[in-house]
Amino acid sequence: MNRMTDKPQLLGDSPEFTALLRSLQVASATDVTIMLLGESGTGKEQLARYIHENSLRRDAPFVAINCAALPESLAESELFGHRKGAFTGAVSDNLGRIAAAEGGTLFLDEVGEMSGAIQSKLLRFLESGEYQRVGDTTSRQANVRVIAATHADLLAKVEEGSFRQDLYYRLNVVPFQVPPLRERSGDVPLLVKELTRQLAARHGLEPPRYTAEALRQLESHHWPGNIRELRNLCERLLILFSGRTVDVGNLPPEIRIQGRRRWNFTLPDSGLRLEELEQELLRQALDKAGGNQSRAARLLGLSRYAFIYRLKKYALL
Amino acid sequence: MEIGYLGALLMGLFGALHCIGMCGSIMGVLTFSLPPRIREKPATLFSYLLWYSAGRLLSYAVAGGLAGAFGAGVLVAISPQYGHRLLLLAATLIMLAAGFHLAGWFPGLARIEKAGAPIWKKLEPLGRKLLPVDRPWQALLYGMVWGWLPCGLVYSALFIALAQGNFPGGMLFMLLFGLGTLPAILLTGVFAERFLRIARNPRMRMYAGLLLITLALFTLILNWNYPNLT
Repeated sequence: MNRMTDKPQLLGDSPEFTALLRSLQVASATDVTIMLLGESGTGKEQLARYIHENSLRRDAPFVAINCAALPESLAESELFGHRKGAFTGAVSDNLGRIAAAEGGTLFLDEVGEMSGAIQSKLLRFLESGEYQRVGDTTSRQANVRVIAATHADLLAKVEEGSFRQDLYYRLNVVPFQVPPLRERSGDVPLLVKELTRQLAARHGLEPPRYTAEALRQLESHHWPGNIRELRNLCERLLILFSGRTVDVGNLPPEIRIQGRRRWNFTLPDSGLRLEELEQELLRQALDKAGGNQSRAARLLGLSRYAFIYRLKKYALL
Repeated sequence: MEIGYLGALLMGLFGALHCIGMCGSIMGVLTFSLPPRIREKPATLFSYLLWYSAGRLLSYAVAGGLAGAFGAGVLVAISPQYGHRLLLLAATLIMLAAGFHLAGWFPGLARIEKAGAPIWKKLEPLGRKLLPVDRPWQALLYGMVWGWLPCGLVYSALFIALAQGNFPGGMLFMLLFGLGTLPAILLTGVFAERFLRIARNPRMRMYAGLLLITLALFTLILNWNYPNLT
């Protein structure tokens, strides 16, 4: 099992995960901008920390910022800092996250959610290492390694115009694909055991035992929420079944019944017309995405081109 | 055994497409960590990329030669008369497994990567000392270290190199395998994102796997009656 550093702790023994760690080991020996691509809950922040802890910058700060959680009005000041009096409420100087990461690593999580104005400023910083605090007239320099992460299809965002193309190429220098939990062969039982052990120690409870059948069922689940979802489940089962045995019947229905299936859809006995269903799904996706074709395409797991092709095919465009 | 060598080339060519997720990112890291004075001149940059790959191929060739020489011993030990057939059969099975692995029907093959993990653990810190690269000899040496990065497909190729039954045969097999990987690995430094998309395309991987499976069966049929493998 890979527990290469105590902090951050990365658990996994599957070839898919260990291969990624080996590539990140190589990346950590350089100062190249890294982009971590992967679904939510796959542990991108832990992997960014892993790069930092294994790099020459390990003694300097690691600063993480979740771009999706930043209100647009605060994002600039949070990232670049502000001077006292720069705006209402700026009662003192704020260095900002870039300055806080001086000499170390700045991790930009969910970078695809950044507003256009911040994107321009970030691009300038990535190109020249220069930035300006809000309300300041002088430029500052920072020596920071940037690691970005996203679960979104950034190229699609570029195509739809919500993400700057030049910033995309600046950040996407070396992309690493983080495998979702369902593609990490053999890691689910291992993670269940280790997460349960850690959580039991934290809560002061006796860990439950999992039957082989329950573990098999957990392994066949799709895990849309990845490790985060698995961790929450382990915590729930620990509290409910501390010191007892967890069997298939004790698992939540969505895992117990569906297995690898992601949908609650059952083909009616009378059958259906597939083309009509496809048209309906295309319409619903467009409605849900507010008419945005790229977003609608993502809802159906299609590329924008494939989505438009289908719209044209059914004369829905 | 010419078709076997063609197999080595194709295995590298399509295998690299499969492995681009790991090796492509490493190539990207190595490319972009070169100093700007090297990266700004396309010819100079390309020469460094070639040095990295030359080092990697050198490691493959040495490992292939050693595997081939070891195979010769195994061949004599098993049976001078039928040993080659058994090795050919073993090589075919491994190539079939690699084909199934490429197609995504046998992910378990990657487990053999564990065999090389201890070597990599020793070599990785040496490679780290060579970074950042700013001289061709550093790129060559780093490439040599990179050649020992655990990889299920390289190990499969090594098993087949073993079946060549001699040092030059094993070396040539691995060299051709390495040459096959060159187009994908060299181009990922420039087109990383596009290649990642192709590599993740299950249909593309399935075709590559089917081609390798076909080739493995051809190799077996055409070489079954040869007196020896080389």
